[in-house]
Amino acid sequence: MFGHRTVPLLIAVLALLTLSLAAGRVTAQIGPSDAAISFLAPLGDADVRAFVDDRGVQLTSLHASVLGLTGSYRSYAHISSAALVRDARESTITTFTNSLGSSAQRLRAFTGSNSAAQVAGDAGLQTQLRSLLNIRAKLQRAIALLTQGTAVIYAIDVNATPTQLAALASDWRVRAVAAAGDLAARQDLKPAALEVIWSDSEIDGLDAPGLYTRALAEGGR
Amino acid sequence: MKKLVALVVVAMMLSRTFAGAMYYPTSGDFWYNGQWQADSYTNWGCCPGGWLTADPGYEHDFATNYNYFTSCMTWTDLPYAYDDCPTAGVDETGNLWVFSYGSFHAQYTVQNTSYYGSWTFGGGSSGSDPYYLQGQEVTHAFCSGDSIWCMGAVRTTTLGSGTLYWGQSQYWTW
Repeated sequence: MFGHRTVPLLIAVLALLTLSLAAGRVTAQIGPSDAAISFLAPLGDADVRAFVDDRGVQLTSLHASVLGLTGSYRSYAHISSAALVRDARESTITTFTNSLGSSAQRLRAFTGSNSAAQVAGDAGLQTQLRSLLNIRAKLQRAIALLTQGTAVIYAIDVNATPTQLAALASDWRVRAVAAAGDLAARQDLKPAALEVIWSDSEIDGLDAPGLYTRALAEGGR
Repeated sequence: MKKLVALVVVAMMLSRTFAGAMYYPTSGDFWYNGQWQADSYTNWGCCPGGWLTADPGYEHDFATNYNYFTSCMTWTDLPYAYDDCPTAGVDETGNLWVFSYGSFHAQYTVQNTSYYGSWTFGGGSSGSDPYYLQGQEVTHAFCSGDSIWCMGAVRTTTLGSGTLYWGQSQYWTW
């Protein structure tokens, strides 16, 4: 159907078209979304999907919190709400799992450059080591909660019409709806109750030798 | 000019008052897994402080080539944390976009404590891309509340830079 010279040309045109479409998808999502919506308490993934899909609005970002870890996921491509919330949770679990590996590397680095005696004699080093172990415990606990499906989404960004936003605002679970241009209303998306410093009580109760022993065990020296 | 002189005087007073205090983490590290993820630990050492503003924020800025990303995600356990992916690309004019996480109220960082933060991207990949990691004091410049759209830069320091090579992990400290 096509000559020898036409096929490469068509391939090149298709490649350029694909690239420009991809670029268009990305640039279409740059800049603030139409509105930010915060909830009275964190919602689960299915609730967020239904919340936006029932009103026909486009979900662009979500904001989440678990055990004092705060995160946001932003898609630059137009994807469904189902895909966005699924990708966010799966990416978070993968990220925390990878970071568990790198946290062991930090523990090895710490015990490699500080002896048990140095740690025992330096309150600052004990604080640092305790925080390194608490980061690791926090990631482990968060992975378990996320895998169980714990509700963590406290706010979302959407593209929506004023009529759609009015409908969203009437939902009893909504704390605030703020249009992009309304900076004052876009403040304080996260409920104050989520501003927690989480730590593991067992780690907090360890003395200097206990901290060091645990670091050696978890760092895999 | 008077404002500039006053600012310099205040900065000198602050630096004398809090000897060794830094607005950016005095030690930390950066780890890249060779694919779509990087994380960083930050520690202000003995003396978080030396801020130029009364209610300072801190932003950990990771700048790299945005071209092949379809998503951005950050997480951190900094106090009063925020995640800045929604603002990435809004003000940038070149290929380097700044993907950040930070703290709305950095005065609550605790001495000698290490804090965690991570960046995860989705999409395609490139063989190699330059990146910069910067620590930035920020303040509530555009509105008084806690919103990523309120925060404006006060001053910035480069903590490190390099190249991300696809398939090669890297780790370094400062």
